[in-house]
Amino acid sequence: MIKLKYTYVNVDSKVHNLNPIVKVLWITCVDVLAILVWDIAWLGLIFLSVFAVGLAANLGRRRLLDAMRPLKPLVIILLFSPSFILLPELRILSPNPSLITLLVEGVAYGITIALRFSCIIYSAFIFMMTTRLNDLAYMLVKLGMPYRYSFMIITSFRLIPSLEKYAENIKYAQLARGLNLDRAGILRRYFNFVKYTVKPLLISALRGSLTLAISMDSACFGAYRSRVFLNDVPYSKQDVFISAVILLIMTLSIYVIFTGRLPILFDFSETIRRLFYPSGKIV
Amino acid sequence: MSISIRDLWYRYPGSREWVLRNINLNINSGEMVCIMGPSACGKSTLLYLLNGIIPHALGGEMKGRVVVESLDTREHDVYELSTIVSLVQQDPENQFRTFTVKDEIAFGPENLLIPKHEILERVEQSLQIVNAKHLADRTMMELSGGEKQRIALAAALSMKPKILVLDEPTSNIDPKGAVELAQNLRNIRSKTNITVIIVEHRLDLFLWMSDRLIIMNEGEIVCNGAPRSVLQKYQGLLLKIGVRPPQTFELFDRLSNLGVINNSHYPLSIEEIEEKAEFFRQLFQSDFCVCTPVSSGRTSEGEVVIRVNGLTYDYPGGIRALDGIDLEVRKGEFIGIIGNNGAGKTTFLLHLIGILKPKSGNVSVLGMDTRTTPVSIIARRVGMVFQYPSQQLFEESVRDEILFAPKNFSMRENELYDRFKEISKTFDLEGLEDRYPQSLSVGQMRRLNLASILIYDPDIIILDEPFFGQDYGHVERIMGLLEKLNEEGKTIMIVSHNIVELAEHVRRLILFKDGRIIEDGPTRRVMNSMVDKEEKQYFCTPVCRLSRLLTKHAVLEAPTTVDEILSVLMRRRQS
Repeated sequence: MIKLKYTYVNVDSKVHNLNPIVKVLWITCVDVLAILVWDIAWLGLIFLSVFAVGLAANLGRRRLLDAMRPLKPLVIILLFSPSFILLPELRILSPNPSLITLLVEGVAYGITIALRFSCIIYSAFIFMMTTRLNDLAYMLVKLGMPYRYSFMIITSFRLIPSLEKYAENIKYAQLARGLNLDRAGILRRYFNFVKYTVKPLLISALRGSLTLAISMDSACFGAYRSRVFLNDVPYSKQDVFISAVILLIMTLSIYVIFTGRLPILFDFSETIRRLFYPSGKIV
Repeated sequence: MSISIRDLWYRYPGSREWVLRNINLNINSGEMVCIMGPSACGKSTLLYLLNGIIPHALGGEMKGRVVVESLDTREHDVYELSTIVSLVQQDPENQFRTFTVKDEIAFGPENLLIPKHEILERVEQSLQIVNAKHLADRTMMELSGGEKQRIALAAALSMKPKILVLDEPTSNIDPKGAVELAQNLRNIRSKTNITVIIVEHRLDLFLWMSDRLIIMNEGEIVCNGAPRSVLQKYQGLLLKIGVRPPQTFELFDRLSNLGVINNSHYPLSIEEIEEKAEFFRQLFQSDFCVCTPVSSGRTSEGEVVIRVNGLTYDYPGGIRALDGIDLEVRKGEFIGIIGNNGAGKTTFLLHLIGILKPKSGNVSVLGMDTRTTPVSIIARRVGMVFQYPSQQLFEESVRDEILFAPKNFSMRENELYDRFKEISKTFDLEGLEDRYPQSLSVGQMRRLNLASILIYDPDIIILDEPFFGQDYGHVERIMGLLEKLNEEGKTIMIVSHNIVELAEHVRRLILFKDGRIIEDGPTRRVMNSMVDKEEKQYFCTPVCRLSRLLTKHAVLEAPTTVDEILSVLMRRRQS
């Protein structure tokens, strides 16, 4: 039995007990800030804050570190992607840049994007590990969304653990028959990935979806305009307070960023210049 | 009348083949009906017709009438029919709609706009009927396969249906889970008047409590009647189309053919024998002591090909999966690995091919340390087939699929031509070489999986649940081939929940529990050592339990298969 990483973790914590809407607000706040901020240090702090929320949710350091694993390929690709290193915008910033300047700026850009995506994806992982999706569906319905649509969202989350398991099974089967996607060149790797992983994954997912669809139909899903929700998810005073705090942080941060008052904590290019070219500019 | 089917023909959208042909069937209220047949004979399709999934959701062309509790399924929507017919599917992973046990059971009643207090009552009652109150606060991911099926059953019951339909509910779960599910059904039958229709291969679990047995073949009903009479009357036909009777029935039938007994009331399960233990003791003559020669301790004298020392492995999140495994496997051994779902069997196999690396301890396969040897080098000599057939098919045609691994191992295609022909023939894949592998039936996919590893002639063959989706005929063919390969010196390891097949073929049995090996030895000895232990008796064949029941004196190795018990009996009678 393989233990899946991104499903609801059944432990008691204050984060678990928060109303799902508060957690959606939190994710929105993390995403907005991660997109607006360009400073690597600030992005690092946002990532650490997400990790801290995971710790507060009693998810355990080991599980949290383990949940970072899928970020690794993304980070590597973003860091070293030539499209970032030779980004045309950088040529505009510096009309005649040397290769080193391009490289340094490109790596700085890559780190920024990698951190940004990591914050967005990791916060979504924490959300999934701390939120019962039925409660989220219920809250969305309370906010006026038709329940069929809210369940559509839930169902897409519901399939994630299955997809995760299928992908693992497929990878193992490939390895056992002598195919190692990680060893080929980058283009060959992508081609093989689509051919040997995406296709069987999609077919398995479609088969799984059919079973799920039959199961939902067999339980009268969609028969009536509304439905009953067994669990009432209260919006407590604590939820109100935390929502207010999140909104306040988000508003203040947006104001500080757009008025240019956010202090620069770490200038990557400048640090590189000082390290390697203490006497002058890189260009 | 609960169900009435008249002149029913059905074919799927885009298909020219009729999946169901001229079906005529009546089922009375409160009846329990067991449906059997070879793979792809139309059993599941028939079930989908009962709750309106066909034609309303899956479409297709349908002729004839299906009337369920006076409702014509063509004229009534799925949601109307689903208050009458509840369905439990075979896949314990994908049929769940929610993430927690309570939400899952409440899902149907919530859709029916039932008041909350009543939903709570239904959840409680359903959990009680399936004996799963202790699971109420768990998430679905925390449950074993067997527990998941019990919750699926509870969710079906919470709809308060008049008809309960189960599609191979035990095919993905371990023997203990299957026995518990059978007990749940017995409980449901004793407390309610629900009509139960079950499609199942494991006849020993369900047939004895069924009122009727229906056998299907190629879309038609070929036999329909009381279970015992169907089995007695049509046994030849059943074996021909891939339906195997329960082991106890098979034994008594053969005894009858040999003239040893003259009793037409053949038992269908070990429970029936236990209920009439004295009668059977007399039948076998009171002094009948069943004993067979004691197996030698070692099942092969070959060199050690797999050596595992202190293997420990943790799942992500720190859960211990394997806990100090020590094992030696010799060349030419034929080993069965059993254990409940989640016991660590598959995780162990993944270590043998080097896909997973030990946290501590070491694994040596054919002299290669799995920690330092690339998987592709080990895989060339260790062929492994995994559990889910469709998730190990990658190519565009059956031919390319069979040649996929040899290409990866840089083997020359022209050298494989004869072997390819032979393998295609052996696995019934001739004529299918150009078919898209994912379009094959589950049974064909499984055979293709096996063909895809045997083509490159590995020294060690490891199979994880190879009988999944296979009817008896194909299971026997696979086992026959494995026996042949074993005789040629191949080392074979099979993980399976099919205890009867393992007892008949493997020579060494290993029982996993909670990441440890708790039993290991010659098959007969291991099974005998488990027969009296509550937690382990699910892994014993009915014949093994019968032999022990009939034996007055303690014996180390009572027979576990029909052939063994018959040979002992005949020997005694001759002497």
